[in-house]
Amino acid sequence: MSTVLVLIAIFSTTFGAIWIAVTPNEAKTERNSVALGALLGSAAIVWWLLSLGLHSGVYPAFNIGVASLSLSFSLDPLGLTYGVLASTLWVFASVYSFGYMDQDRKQRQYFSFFLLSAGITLGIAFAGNLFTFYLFYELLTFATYPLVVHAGNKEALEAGTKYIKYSLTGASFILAGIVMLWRVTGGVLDFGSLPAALGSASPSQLVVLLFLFLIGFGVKAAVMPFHGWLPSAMVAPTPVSALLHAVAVVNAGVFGVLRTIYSVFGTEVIQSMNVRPILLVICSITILMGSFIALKQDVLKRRLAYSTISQLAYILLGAFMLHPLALAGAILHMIFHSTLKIVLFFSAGIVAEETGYLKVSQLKGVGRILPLTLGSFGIISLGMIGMLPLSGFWSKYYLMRGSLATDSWILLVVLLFSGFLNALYFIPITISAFAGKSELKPRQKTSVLWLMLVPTLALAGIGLVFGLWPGLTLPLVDAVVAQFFTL
Amino acid sequence: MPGAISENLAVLIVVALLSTAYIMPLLTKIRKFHVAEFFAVFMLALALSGGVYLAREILHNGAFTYAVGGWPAPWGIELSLDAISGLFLITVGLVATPILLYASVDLVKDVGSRSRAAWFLTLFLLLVAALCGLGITGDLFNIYVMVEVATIASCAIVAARNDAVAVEATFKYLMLATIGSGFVLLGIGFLFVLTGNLNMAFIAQELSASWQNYPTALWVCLSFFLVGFGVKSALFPLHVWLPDAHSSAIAPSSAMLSSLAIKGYIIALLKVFYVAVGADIITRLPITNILTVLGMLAIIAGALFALAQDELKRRLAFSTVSQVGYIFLGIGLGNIQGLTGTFMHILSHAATKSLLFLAAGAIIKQTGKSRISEMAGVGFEMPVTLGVFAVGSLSMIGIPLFSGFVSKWQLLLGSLARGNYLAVIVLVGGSLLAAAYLLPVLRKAFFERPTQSAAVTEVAYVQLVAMLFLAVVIIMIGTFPGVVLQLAEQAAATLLGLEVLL
Repeated sequence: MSTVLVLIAIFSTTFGAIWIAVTPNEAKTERNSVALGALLGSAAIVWWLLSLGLHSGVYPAFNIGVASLSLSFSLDPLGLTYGVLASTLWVFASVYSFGYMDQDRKQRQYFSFFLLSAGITLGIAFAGNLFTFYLFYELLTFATYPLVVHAGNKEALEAGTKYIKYSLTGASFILAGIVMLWRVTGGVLDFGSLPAALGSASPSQLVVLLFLFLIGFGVKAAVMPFHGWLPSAMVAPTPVSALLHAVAVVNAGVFGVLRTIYSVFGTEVIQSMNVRPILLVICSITILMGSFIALKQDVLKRRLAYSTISQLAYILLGAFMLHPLALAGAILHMIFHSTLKIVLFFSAGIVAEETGYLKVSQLKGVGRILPLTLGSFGIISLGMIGMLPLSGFWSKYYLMRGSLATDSWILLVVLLFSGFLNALYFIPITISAFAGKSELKPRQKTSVLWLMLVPTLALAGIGLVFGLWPGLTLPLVDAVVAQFFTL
Repeated sequence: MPGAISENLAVLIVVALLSTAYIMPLLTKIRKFHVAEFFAVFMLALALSGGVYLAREILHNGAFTYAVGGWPAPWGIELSLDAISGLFLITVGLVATPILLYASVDLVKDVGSRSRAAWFLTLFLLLVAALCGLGITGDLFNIYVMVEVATIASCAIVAARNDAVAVEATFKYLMLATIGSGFVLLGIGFLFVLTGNLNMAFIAQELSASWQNYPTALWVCLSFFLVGFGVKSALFPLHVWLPDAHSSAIAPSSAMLSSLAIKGYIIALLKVFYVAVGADIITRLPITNILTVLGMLAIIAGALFALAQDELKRRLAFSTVSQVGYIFLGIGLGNIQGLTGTFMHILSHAATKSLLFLAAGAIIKQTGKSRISEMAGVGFEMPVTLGVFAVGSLSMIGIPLFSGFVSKWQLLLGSLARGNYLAVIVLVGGSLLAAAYLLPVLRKAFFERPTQSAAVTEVAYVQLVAMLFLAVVIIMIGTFPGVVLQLAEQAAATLLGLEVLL
């Protein structure tokens, strides 16, 4: 029963994508209802699977195929976290897209690949072995490429090429890692049994393996110096940037790193390898450099992109500290950063659609024209900085507790300093948007504004709710931490 | 199946194809030429089903030999039906049938006249018969005959278009291929002198007892085979004839040559090296290292050359040079995974490259554009053709769920089992390069705006069906490799003289 449900969750959106691909471009109502229906259905199933897992401890696991390389799906708290996050945000992003893409000529292509990527992301989340993970990870690159180059102009095509180059190179590192792992473990690729099977590997093999995987996943997670594709890919339509490049694709990379550390190697092996300091230094550099570069960006979406690079490194930092509190911080930050960052992108998109402004320097006084949009931008950016009463505070709080618990006070300094930098590049935007006076003449707002505004406000509300009642996520985070640490 | 047919099925496949080949010119007298074409396709499909039947027999009941004309070896010609033959018969049938189906639509227009078209069918069937013969024969001289038939037929198929470029390419091809044949013949002569036999099983017995008495002679003989078959199968740096020949022929010919013809010589090389001489001796000679190095060079160099081509068919032709490198790398690795990878790649590349050539032919024909840089927006006009081109590209790159991944995976395992990390890097780098030379075509076709909107339509339904069939084959092998992979593993085990793993 639950096996079928998992498959439906993954593939219902694929069927939706095919349906949309054969529906004429003009049939807007049909297309939108198919898209929303498929995404809602898939999200509902994932939520149900999550509650099943958390309440009764039942996590479906099954294999398809009998050959040595079989597709394996196995749900666990970590995968469900990512699955719930992605499938839920996809629903909001689809509603936003209905508004944003309203006048677009190639909506059929857009929504087909939009749905296809949703299913593939769930495939990544629920993969039970490295091969299945790699399969969906590689497919995600190809399914999202048409979304990145959607505008079809020279800039978009170049960004798309850059995206493909980075992603495929990263994926080939992963493939090399998987083959080597297969050799070392004698064909064991299942997440459940991997850490034990790695016991026989020699230290040098372990180091090579770890770096193959971390470089491979680091590309999608936009760890410096592999982050180059992310700011370029911001030429995509805003809902794509929001969803794929702040939430799904980059989190697929982050999720891959989490899997590598906790499901492939296991905390004990990593502890014994003495690579922690290097990894933490790379993350700290990415956090600080990302924030510094973000300060200098005038194009709003690029500023958000660099902020994403910096924030993703928070999650990795938490993962590499190898401490229950830090892992809790990492998981919380994965959830909270996604829900917050998507609001910022949504707001930036509304501003661009309604006023045509793309740069921070143009935003003076725009807040008076679009009060709700920039209001939610302002509030949610406080969460990015890590202020109460927004959810972003709690994840940072756990990351800081984790760094103290592992006696790395220097990381605490990094986190605090980065928070300060975040404030420097976010708060002036809000202030000038509401304080200045715009030269823009008030004009008719587009008829589909509400379609974009509703998901933005709803997600902003969710950010506030999590900030006020962080305990809502407690069962999930507990389950993830209990999965990898015996407390 | 009635007993008489099933007992003699192996030789019947070749004989049936040969006789069909020779009656083709007679069929021009029939008013509807499509009947002749349909008959040829039907015979190929029949050969395919025969191949599948034989492969099933071999998988279930093990390998067997068949004495042609009832004359036992060493006097008569012996056919050796093992997993290698089964796999190659299936490969040839699976790929040649859709190619001929595709060709049948416009054949008369492509080659000029009905009589020329009939001769084209003759040559095509001769080539297929020779390839099947190479797959099943167990006799060295028989190999030589089949190699010659295949060579002449492929040269003539290139010239079928009858324009200056094609004829020049054919001449170049014919010269080099003949030199290759000369080397092969010399090699066979050496082996005959050394062992007094032409039957490969007997040669193997002789050699394993006495090869240490004349290692240099054996070594020279093997290098003759390597160069001879190397020229014919376009092993880098002996590939110089291939890009001209494969890009100037009509699309079905290019597909046939690039996907199957060169594989026949590789099968012949495998049989000589591993069956006649024996895995035991081969792996002790440095020749496997040479093959590994040449394979790696071919992968990288072929791909780099392909990158530099703007003409779509030339790019695909150089891609073949690169992909042949994968096959030779597997032979050089000489372990079970490597050879399984070789056999899988022979099948996977055959299906993939023929699909790509057919799709390229369709694009060139419908739009009149042969350069990639001119193909902006073609994907909107010919979505099915470019869709199957995308399937082929992803398989060539080696994305999971497509057949190319299965062979790449086996080759990677083989390289690691040998401890050859350089080969791992080359294999992975090779697929990145494949992405670099194939994906720009898709980008141009699907994501750039068309320059001018002349009315371009898809090719005929029959041709679309042929291409879709190949695409389905690629995806089926990639998704459910089970039986085929088992056959390939058994073929590799046969070569290495290992117990059959079932």
